[in-house]
Amino acid sequence: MKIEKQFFILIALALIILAFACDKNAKNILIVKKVSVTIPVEFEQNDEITQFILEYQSLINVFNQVAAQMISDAGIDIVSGQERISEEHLAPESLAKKAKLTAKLSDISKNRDAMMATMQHRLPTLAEPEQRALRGVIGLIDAHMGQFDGSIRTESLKNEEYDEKTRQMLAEREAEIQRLKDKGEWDEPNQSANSDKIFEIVFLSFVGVFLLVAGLLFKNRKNGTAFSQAKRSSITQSISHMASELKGNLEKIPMDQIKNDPNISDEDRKSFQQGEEYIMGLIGQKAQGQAGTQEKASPEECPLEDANPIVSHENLKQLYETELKTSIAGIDDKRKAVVKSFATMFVLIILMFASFVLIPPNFYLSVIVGIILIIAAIVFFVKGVYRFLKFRSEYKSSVVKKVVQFINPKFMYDANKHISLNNFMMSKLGSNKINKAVGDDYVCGIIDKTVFEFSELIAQYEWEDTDHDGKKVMRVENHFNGLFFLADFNKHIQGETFVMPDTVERILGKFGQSLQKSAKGDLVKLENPEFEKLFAVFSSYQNEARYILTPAIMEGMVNIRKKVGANCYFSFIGERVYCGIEFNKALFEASIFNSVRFEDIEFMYSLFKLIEIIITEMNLNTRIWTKK
Amino acid sequence: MNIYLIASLIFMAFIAVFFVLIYNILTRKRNEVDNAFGGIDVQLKKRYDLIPNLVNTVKQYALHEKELFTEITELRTKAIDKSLLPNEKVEIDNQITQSLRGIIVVVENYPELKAGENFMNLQRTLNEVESQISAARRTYNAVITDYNNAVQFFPNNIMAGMMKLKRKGVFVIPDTERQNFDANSIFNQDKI
Repeated sequence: MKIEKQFFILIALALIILAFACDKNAKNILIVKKVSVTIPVEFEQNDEITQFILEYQSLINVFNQVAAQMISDAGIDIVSGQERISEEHLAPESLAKKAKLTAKLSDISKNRDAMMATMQHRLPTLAEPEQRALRGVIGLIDAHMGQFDGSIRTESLKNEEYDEKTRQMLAEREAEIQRLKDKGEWDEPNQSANSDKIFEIVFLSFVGVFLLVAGLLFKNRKNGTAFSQAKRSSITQSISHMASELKGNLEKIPMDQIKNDPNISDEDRKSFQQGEEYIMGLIGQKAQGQAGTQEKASPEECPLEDANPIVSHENLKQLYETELKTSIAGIDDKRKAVVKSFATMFVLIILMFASFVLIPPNFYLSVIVGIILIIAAIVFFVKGVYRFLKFRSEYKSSVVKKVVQFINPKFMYDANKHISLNNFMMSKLGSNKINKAVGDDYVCGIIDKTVFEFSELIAQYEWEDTDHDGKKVMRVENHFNGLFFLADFNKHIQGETFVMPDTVERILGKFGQSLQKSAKGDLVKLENPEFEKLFAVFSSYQNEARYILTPAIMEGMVNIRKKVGANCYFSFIGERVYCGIEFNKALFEASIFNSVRFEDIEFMYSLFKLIEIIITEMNLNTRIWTKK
Repeated sequence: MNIYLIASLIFMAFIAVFFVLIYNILTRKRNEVDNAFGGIDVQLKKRYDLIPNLVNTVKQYALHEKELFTEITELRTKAIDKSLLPNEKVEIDNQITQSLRGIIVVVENYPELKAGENFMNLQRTLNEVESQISAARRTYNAVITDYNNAVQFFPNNIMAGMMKLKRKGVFVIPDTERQNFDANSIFNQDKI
């Protein structure tokens, strides 16, 4: 819970700043009014007099500062000569300060006396109007002598026991300030004070943001599985590749090399080994299955025989009622936390805008409040994202995984993996430009004799572009977005056969057939009219396309297309069949606004069930041809 | 006068080009049909080559089914005769299919034979060839349909008449062959 701590430290810091800025009643803060007179026009050419005025002015400023310090540190008001706190009540440090300040003050008054004496000699040499102007300026500077922000003084008085005389003196000063204000000669002391303070605020804000960022980074290093996962994905990808290349090609993958590579961390090596063991297990099963069928085809070996939709629906309901409901209830709290974080963020943003309207007179205060609220909103946003990722992984492991394993406990599920770009490119279903694949919810396994891989996949084309400012930007174009499936095909094939969704023929009928041309090969006309309406087949060999697309498979494809209700792409290349189903939306993801319902589970189940549907509908387990 | 001459010349050139195009289309279609039929032939040849092998394997066990073997061997000898007309070829081929089916059924009575690796391999090869034959036939039918359309549509039919091209019949596949040969149904018969 590093974030929370950081957050509170930040809030506390910000509150202190706020207190400094807002609380004008603070006892020990005296805001000194700085004198700044304009040099009368008469002396603009007279450097000597200008110099004098400026020096005198700064002397009085120093005096004011020392006088303020005297009041706050030593309790003496030098203007009235009144000691507010008797010496025996002063702390030793205050006494030392008092002595120092007194010495300083005497220096100042000496200087002032000297300056005034010089002036007395100088004055008669000046012309009459110039004399008047100089006297006026000196008087104006003198009037500022010992002037502090009145309200602070008044308030601090209320808190301390001062004698009658001091109070009277302060009342006089108040009156004087009022008089100055009326005359328009009193400038608001806040300005100079706040200009110092704004530096402080900015500095503290920077410190706060720095702490926050440092805290977050630390957190990510500690708990951030996302980073290490991204790093590991190259290895997991090679494992997925291995699973797909099961057909005896295993020795081609330099496993020993990977295992002994010193650059690979222990964690990666472990996950790699797990994958390897799993795949070896699969091969064992497959070999066993083959041996089994050669001797005797036993019905237990056909996991698809229990694929009765009604029975499995009831079982699913049962699974939902028993196991899933508890885990859903568990993750529902996490979901609510996510919603809470984001809701708080929105409230903070709204508050931020409201604060600009509600605190109009003080610009700096609005800025401070705004900064605090923005930082808080960012913190809640980051927190929300973090919680969402946690919620998502929990959902995947406790709900999605269970549904997958309900279908078949031997399936391997990995929420963060996907079918590799290489495998997608081998299907030749996408454009050649595609250079990036993202996705999740990877399932692989073996049904009877067919090894398959299945995942959500987005095939993208990413390129570097320059925008109108000449800056380099990365642009991404989605080419395929949906579910991707690949499996061993049960017949030997030499050519390439593609079954693509047929939009032309659906709209234009037979006439559309003549318009169908493709770089993928010759158009193959098939005799199933329903199939022909939905799909267009292209192949490098007419005969082979018909060898692959038996009437049964064509019917199966029509069934799959009807069940899915989305565009389906198939390709038969090399040893495999590839199938892409276009969804154009994220699948197997939990909504953060609604808790998981049975319908969601059902939908998810039906999507995973597609694996089995494709394998059965296409008779991939029928191995009666020369390919075993 | 000149204009009429030029106009009629252009018209005749147009007609000539038109006929040349049709002629080319029809020739291409006819060649496609021949090619597709050749495709079937190749697959059928593979099947004929399998027959002696099959007969020899089964013979060792099923001594009493001599008639069956004689019949299929005779049919095979007939089928590889090159002077056969396409129609006759199809006829014999259908008979061979029937006999093969008969042999497979006979094998049911000989469990050792059925489980033997030799026979299993034969069975697989046979299935493969059957599927290939079926695919080749379907290709042939698709091509024939195209050809028939080309021959019968106006104005192609004028040119087709001149080229003496006639409508050709498609392969009629017996009902029993419509599906892939399902070995499992035979293997599992005793369990039902």
